[in-house]
Amino acid sequence: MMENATLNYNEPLLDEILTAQIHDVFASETQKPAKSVLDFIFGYAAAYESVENGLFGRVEFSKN
Amino acid sequence: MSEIRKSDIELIESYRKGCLSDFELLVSRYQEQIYNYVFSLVRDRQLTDDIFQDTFVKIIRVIKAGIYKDEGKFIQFAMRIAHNLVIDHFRKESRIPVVESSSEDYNYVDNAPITDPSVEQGMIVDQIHSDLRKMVDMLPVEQREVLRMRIYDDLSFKEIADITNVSINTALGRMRYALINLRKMAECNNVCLTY
Repeated sequence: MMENATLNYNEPLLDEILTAQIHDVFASETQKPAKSVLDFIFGYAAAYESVENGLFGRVEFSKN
Repeated sequence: MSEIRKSDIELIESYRKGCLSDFELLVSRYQEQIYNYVFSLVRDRQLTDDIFQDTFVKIIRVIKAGIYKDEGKFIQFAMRIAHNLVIDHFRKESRIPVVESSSEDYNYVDNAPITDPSVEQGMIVDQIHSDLRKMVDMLPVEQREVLRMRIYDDLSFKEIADITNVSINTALGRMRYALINLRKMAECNNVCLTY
């Protein structure tokens, strides 16, 4: 019932040409995140994993 | 021998159990879509980097806390987080972004239409794209967001409503206003949007 209700709406109409043009506008801006940005994320994930596994807790620092 | 492609939920579950390489696979699967979604809203590379990083930091925390619920597509979950971070940013800034269109990043060769128009037609198409990009950039961020999600990301209005945390009618209304505004801008500036 709810699903039917959500499907009964009138989508604003766009002609095909304008749709394609708008699509091209967004497609033309395709960029990739820099490696440094991804490195930060993967580094964070790795650090989170280490903390979760208690690796930092088992580190013993030398007094000398 | 071809490797069977793991589903998003399999990657998430595997990462939750400690497999970092599956997390990297998940990121690589969606990094461009999320990054470009954020960039299309904030229009600033440095800010996009920050929000993109924060999005994945939140994703990591949710997955690792075991509270990720597979209620649909992972990408919707990720875009909802990114959307909220973008909104938080604009709230902090207390401003509607005024965006200048940059043509420097536009690579026409890589993004040329599939058809092979004549040189003259190619120039017309290029001009239309340039005009349209400026007009899209001038739309309020909420309208630009719906326009992108519907036309470029090919999301349904229900999915858009879920991600942006509004009703379907609000999402539809934003789309209508986006189209009305685009047509008004085209009319006011004598911009022709057809070849």
